[in-house]
Amino acid sequence: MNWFLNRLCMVLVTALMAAGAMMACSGTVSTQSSVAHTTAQTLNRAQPVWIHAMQDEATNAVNQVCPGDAGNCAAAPMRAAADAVFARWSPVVAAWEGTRIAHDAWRLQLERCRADAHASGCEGPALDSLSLALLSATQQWRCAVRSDAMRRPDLDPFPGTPACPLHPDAGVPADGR
Amino acid sequence: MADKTNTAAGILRTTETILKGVGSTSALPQPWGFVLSALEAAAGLAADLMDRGLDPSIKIQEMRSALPAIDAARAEVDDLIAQKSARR
Repeated sequence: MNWFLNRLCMVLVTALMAAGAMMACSGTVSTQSSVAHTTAQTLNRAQPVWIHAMQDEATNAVNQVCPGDAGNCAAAPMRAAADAVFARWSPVVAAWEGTRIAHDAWRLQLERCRADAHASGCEGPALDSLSLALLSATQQWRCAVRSDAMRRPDLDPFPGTPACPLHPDAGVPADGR
Repeated sequence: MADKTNTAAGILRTTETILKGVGSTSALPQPWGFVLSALEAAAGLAADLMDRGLDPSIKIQEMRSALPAIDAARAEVDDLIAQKSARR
């Protein structure tokens, strides 16, 4: 059910971000603000899904080293197993934080433009580049969960296979080969 | 209200159809070509939905950092490790 809701939300985000890109062309700060607002709401709801998956993997790794409730296992091997899982997920975390930073840049500029419509950077192309930066960051996150190290395309709520220039094995190569 | 619901449903249908279609091809013109395609087709519907804009009295919501939730997940795993090594 979570997966379904997540997928549904992300399809809506795609439509909203597409609308945002369109609105950027017309320079409508108010409408882009609406898109940025809803995008954040939706991504915030999607976040716990992949973090829960990461925690599950770490818990399973610990349980493999020490099955059951023994209570007399050595801590170091369990910690090493858990740390290996968290380290493997670090590119996914970094890509998510990159998405957040891209959203922050867009949001803060929009707030600036809402306060003063004549402020610099409130022109259509400037806002357009910020919304496209968010799309780029989202794409990097999709590629991160699909990378060879992760192999978790099930966590990517977008339909289709992304183009991943840095991880050709993770999706369709950017040059289409 | 019915108009808004119909518009939102239309966006979902149009976008999902396009994304599925683009996803089935072997090559994309650029990383987010699918979004641009969605843009073209969903533009009319999205324009209707977005035309209202965000109420000026509402601050744009921030995207939440994943780091606090990850710290909490790590803490739970640490607790599990502590339980499993408690009698050692």
